[in-house]
Amino acid sequence: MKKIFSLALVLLSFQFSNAQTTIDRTKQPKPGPAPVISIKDPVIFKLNNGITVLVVENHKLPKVDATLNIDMGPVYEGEKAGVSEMMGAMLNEGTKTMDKATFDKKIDLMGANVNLSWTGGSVSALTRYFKPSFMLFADALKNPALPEASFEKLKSQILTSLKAQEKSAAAIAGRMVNALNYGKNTALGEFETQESIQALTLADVKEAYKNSITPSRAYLTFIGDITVAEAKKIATEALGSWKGKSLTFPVIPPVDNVAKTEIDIIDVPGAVQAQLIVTNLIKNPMSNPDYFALSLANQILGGGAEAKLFLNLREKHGFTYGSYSSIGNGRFQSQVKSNAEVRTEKADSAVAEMLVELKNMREGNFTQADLDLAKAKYNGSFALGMEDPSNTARYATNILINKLPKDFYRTFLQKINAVTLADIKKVAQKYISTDNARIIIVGKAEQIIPNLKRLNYPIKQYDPYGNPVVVNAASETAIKTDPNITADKVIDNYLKAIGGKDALQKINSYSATISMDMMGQTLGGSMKKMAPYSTSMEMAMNGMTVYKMVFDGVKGYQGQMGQKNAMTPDEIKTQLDEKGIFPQLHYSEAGYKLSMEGTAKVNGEDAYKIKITKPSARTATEYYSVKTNYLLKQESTVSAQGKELEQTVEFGNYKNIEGIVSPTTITQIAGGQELPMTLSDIKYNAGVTADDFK
Amino acid sequence: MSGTSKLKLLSQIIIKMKKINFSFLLLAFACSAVAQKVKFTEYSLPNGLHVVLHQDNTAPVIAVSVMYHVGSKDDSPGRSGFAHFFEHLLFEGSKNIGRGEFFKIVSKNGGENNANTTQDRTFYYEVFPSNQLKMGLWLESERMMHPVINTIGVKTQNEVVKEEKRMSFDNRPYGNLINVIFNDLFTKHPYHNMLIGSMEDLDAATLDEFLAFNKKFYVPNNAVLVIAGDIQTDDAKKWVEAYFGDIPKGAPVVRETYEEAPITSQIIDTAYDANIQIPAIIAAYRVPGITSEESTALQLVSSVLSQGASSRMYKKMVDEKKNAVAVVSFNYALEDYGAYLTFAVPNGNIPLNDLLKDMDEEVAKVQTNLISEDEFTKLRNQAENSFVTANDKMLGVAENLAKGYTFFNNTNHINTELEKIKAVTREDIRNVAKKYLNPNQRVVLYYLPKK
Repeated sequence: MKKIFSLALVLLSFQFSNAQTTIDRTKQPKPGPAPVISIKDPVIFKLNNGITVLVVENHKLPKVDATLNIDMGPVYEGEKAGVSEMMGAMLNEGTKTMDKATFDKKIDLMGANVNLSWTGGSVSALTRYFKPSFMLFADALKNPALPEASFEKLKSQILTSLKAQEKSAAAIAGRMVNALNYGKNTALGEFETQESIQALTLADVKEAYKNSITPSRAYLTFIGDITVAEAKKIATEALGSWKGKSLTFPVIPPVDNVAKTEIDIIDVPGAVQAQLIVTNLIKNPMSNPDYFALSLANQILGGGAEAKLFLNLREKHGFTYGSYSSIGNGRFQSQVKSNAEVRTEKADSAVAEMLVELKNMREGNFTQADLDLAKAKYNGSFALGMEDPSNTARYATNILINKLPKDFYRTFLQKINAVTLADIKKVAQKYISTDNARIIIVGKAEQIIPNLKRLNYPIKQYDPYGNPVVVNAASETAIKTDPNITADKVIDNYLKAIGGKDALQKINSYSATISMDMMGQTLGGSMKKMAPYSTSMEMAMNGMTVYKMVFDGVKGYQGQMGQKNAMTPDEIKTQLDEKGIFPQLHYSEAGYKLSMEGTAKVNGEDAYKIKITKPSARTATEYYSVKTNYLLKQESTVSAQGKELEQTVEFGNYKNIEGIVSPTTITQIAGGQELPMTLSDIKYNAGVTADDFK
Repeated sequence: MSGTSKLKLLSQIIIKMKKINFSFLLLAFACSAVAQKVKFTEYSLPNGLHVVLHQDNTAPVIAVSVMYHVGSKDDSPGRSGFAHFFEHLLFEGSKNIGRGEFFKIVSKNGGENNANTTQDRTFYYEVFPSNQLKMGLWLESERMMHPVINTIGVKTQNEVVKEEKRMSFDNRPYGNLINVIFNDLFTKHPYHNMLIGSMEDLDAATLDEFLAFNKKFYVPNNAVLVIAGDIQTDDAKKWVEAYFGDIPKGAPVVRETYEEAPITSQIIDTAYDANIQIPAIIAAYRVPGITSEESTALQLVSSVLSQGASSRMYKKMVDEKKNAVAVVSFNYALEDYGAYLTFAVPNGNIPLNDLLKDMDEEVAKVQTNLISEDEFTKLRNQAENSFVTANDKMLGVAENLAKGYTFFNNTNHINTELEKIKAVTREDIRNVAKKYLNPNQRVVLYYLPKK
């Protein structure tokens, strides 16, 4: 059936090709006449208790969305930072007459979405379920149960999620931009911490509820398959008699920008990329006469994939997946931000290029074509916005809360299209700063800072919570190394430090118990060695062997999860590189070659770096502590199941065991995975027999 | 004012996991007697290009899109990430579009554009004001007819893709979770490769390979052009023919098929992530692909378990026992196979094995007892709501029509999801859970913080 249908259509399309429309594909097609954009006004009315209601009728789809927004403005929470957020979450925990489970079940049964927050909330439901969903929302808003048990539950969840984000460079950058710009002890700059959440009590939540959940300054919007009369009826029935505290919009004193541009760096040692933000504060409410020119300036600078930042940092240099800018237009001080996530080693170059683009804006280095492009984008996105009826409501709300002229959006494109190149240059100079800006970088500081110095800006370091970090001058001083040291000497010192050659030469076997703790899983096992070349290792989980490796000096195998693979000739060669219990005893023998490679840091500790070429011709690099002479780290390539793997092993927690100083933690790092093992029950010359290597 | 929300963690994970296939999920829930019916016209050009036109004149907006039936599963061995890399190259320019002009032209004409690659397909689109239909067709036909693929583009996009990998996977909490799961779940099928690719493989790709890839997969007979929005269907047909008619037909695309041997004993794996502090536990089961009826039933299993606050796993673990901050189960349905995942993030220091046990208990209940009538009703209502929302914009409609054609060989799939879901019985839900969600058929992944 379908085939016949398609065939008919193919024939039909042939007819069209007979009609032959010619095109010239070397030229961009000309657009047709621009579609008429008509911005409708929503119906607006007030309930007796002051709630402003906006209704946008749109009957295309059988659903209704409603949003309540209580326009309270920013509030400083101080030691209780996070209380509003917590209070908002508590509104979803059941009502005075209905526990959470019953409430959730009712909502889910209708397939609806109902969410409450400290600024109000939203309801989205199929038309036939909209009213009951909205009534449940209103009940939760007016009569929340605020139970103690839920409070404790949410507290533990928030603490867990704060912990989860502790190392996230993006999360750190997000809060630090505000904290540095506005000050971390202000309404706009503060953020919640483990301490501030721990400090919260249920009484705080109840107080916050009383102070902010109120019909005062509230805007209620209905969008979709609903008539004005229905909306009015539902709003009145659900919220008409609701009463609450009267709100006053806060006044927040402005903050000065930095006197001179500086680099603020926050160290996240594990970060794979650097988060880069260049920022300064401005005042740009929507009523600002420069609002339109500034919007276009932002579009030219970093409004998308065709803008200056993107073309430079991504397309020209490949530093990043994307680079964009934003210019705030809030009622308080707003931020100008240019940002990118760049690869660590290019952080300094990316900062330099970003500053070039900011300067270009200030100096007017852009063309009419750039401006036309930015205008086209605004004109287009206005048309595209017509697809989403919520824009009608958004426009109307913006006019109300920003006290804008009624025709603000109807004349929006007219004002955009009137902006000139000179206007852009003027607002760029006025608002986009390069002399009083913060260059905020979140990433691997150790690697980034040395290169940043060439930019000649003062560099300040902060911890991830906005506290200045004083760089310890002592730790910056050069390593106190022995200038006459040789590789042989380092190995000698090591052997001396762990027990002395004489004692070590008497050791013929070694055994230890291994344990690995991995968040809810403990793996246990054993490691054994016998001179000259026998070695074995076994790991088990829940009584099941998960890994086994055995080498008897001639042949061996590796087993994993029941699979057993005989060692390849290459793997055997690698095994034969490690002679005896202490291979370093044999480094002076034929077949080994040592070279001194200078010094390096291992987990903050200074170390000599020695390269060893082994009998198999493989090489390894070993790091010996300058201070203690102990072996700290070993880097090598190993052959495993036919693949070459880079492997790093770190040794730590050296302890004296029967006169021999032995590491009790060994961390293997291979293929991006880290396997930390603890060794106990270490024995020398006891209990190991040839049978252990079969 | 504090921005952190407890939900952020949860949503981060969900977005990560669904990112690539988000609308599959929504589509699969699509069901409704009252929901909108999506009308369309479809036909093929002589060169094999399939064309789908959906006229909706309610807003002056059009979406022009092309879906090519090629994804990361078509990457050659040693060339993981190739299909996605290639997607980037197709923005570099064409015979008549200069390097770096593609985005610029779109913006200059008031539009938006982008593309994305999944394991199974690559999707390019523009959304324009409705007076720019020809512009959209010109751009997409230039891309299909004679893209410029050269060394400078390869070099630049190589760096860009690597940054994308760092940003979206390596530097993101839980970013590599799905890569590990797919690597463990599939041994023969290329689904085991990372969609984004490995750094080495990205570096190894040569210009000749990209040219060959273009010739093999980027042909009209391996693509569907969907236009949705404020068009006049007859007028659109005329311009489609004018812009795409001359593109030569390619050789038929022949695909290898891969048969995975069933997993018969539990595989345990551990992975480390330097971006996280809180571990996660995941159980993943290999399940049938998106076109099977069982895949639909598995979607419903996931709704029962974790859609909404009253769902079984969420209610038990997040609200009652409070041992998890997040618990999610879902059917990541792909063309050849799917991966059914259940995963949880502990609240505080709860051992991961406790969470696994709780999740397993809930799966076992679905395997043993029929779900209640109330739950059955809930599934249908949730599905209907999702469907209405998934198709409320022209771009969403275009993508869903293209998927129907590409994977189900039925463009009308968008409108038949209702019957499909209605046809699933409570017994089917129980049986499919019984058949596929057993401990000996799965991978258990301990996803742990790296110090």
